[in-house]
Amino acid sequence: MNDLMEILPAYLVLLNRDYHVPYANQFFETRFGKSNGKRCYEYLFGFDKPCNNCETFKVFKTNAPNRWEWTGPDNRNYDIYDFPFTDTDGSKLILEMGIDITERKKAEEAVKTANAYNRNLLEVSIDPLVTISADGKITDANNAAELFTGVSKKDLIGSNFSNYFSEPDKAQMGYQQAFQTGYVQDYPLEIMHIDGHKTPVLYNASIFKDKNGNVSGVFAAARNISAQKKAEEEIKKLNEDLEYKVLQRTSQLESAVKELEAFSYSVSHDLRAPLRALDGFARILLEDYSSNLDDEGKRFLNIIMTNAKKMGILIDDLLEFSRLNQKEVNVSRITMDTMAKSTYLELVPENEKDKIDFKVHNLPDAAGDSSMIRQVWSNLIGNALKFTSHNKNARVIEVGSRIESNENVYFVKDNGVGFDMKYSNKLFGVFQRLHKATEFEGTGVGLAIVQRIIHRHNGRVWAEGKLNEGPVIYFTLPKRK
Amino acid sequence: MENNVIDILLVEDNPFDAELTLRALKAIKILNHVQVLTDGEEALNYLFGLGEYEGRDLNLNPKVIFLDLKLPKVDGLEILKRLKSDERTKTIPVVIVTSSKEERDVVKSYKLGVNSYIVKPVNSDNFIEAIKELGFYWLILNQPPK
Repeated sequence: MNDLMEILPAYLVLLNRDYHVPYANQFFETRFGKSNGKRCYEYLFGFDKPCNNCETFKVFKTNAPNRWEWTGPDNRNYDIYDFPFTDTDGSKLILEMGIDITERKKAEEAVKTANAYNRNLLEVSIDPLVTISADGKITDANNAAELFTGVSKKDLIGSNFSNYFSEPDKAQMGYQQAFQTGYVQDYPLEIMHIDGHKTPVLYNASIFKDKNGNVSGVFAAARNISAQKKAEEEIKKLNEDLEYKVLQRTSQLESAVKELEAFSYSVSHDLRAPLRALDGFARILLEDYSSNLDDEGKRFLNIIMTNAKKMGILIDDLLEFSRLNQKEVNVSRITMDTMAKSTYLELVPENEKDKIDFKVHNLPDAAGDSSMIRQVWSNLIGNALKFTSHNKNARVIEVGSRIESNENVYFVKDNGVGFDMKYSNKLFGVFQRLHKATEFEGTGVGLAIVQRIIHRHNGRVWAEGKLNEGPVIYFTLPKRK
Repeated sequence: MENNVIDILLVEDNPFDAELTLRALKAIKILNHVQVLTDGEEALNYLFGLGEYEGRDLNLNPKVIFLDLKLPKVDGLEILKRLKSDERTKTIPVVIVTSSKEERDVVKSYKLGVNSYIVKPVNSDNFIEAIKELGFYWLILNQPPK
């Protein structure tokens, strides 16, 4: 029996009424030393009188066991069990057992600290965090959950979690989903505050299991997305506004185009009639009153008629030019060399054919509006024919091309009268002429029309040349894809 | 109000075009039976015997109508529509003589059943030639219904 007490991993002492320690086991003596007849308060603490409110000594008063915690002079924690003990000679003693719980206490402290730390993390989160039991009741909630619902933690706990959503059924479904698949991600819901306002959130939840692997509940975290939702609403509204503005602008544009169309139509229509009258009545004068007119008089009338006809052509050209912008570009594949050749044959007068050296090299096909590109060839080749018509010697017209990386460059070259390069920027203006009307007829709209067509095809036009040395007119078209 | 036989009904609001037209018709000697009306409403009244033309014998219809498009009060296309949808006037040949080259005017006119569409040239001699040819064609060459 003695051996048992000696080998116990806890201390055992007997204390008597006058604080002596008649017995102490090995454990006690190893820890605190031998008493050597000294009183407990002397040899343990070095005091000269008993400790105030000694827990152990309460047993003498109560005659009942006492259990308490003691920090010894070795700074270790002991779980103390005191028992009233009657010695063999009948004297009253206290039997005290002390179990070293220092490690256990340290572990407890560590857990407490960890718990406090973890709890802080939860509480500091701006996202409402709750745990929900297997039967749908809230078992824990953080500060943010209180904030978002307007309900205190203690009222939240134990209540049905779906009460706090604008769509409780939807919340329930999310909860079920978590149970079935183990988690729920970014599940959209609205938390309802008791004052009525709602907060759109995305729920992320996962189940947690107990020691036996059974699902004990769900951890749920809500992410406030009201800022995102607000931004989404703004974008939606901006887009709607934009669409509306676009619709407005489009209809404004459409009506502007229509107005222009109506304008050009009535302009050409209304301008032609007086010209016809000018021409017509000058002719009547010429026919019916020729005997009253001398040659000069007749000449003046002819001038009137010529100019009236010319104005008619100008009107037609202007109308054509303004119409170009309204026409749609219908893209198709064009064999450029065939088109250039056929345009030349249409334009060249029969009796001049053999006097003209017309060369068309192989040209790359283009993508463009067939009738518009035909007009480009017609104007350019027509110009070449016109400006070589005064050549004393051979008339040469050459049509060729150059292939660049993302565009094809076509050119029409002639050896006619040319133009002064210092006026080249005027060449493509409407009604711009670089030669006197007496030298070459034409209204000067031809190249402006070419430029407009090529620009509508996203190409460029330019000219190079010297006076009295045939010019080259270049135009580009983007390569077909 | 006349009950004469009219060969050509000319509906033209421009007096100068009208004068040139009459001059051309005179040159081919069919001026005697030409009636000129200068606005659309008057033309309708004449053709259907309404207003100031009430009581006109509607069996006596012109052999051809030269019709301008741009007319005051009622325009040429409206008149064409009425003419071609009324049993009494459906068979009268209608020639539109107008300044307009617009594709949509041409298409509309043919859809309404016009017999011919002529664009007035700016060139007056071409215009006069055209009128002469029209006059000759519709009054002499072409076989009208009885």
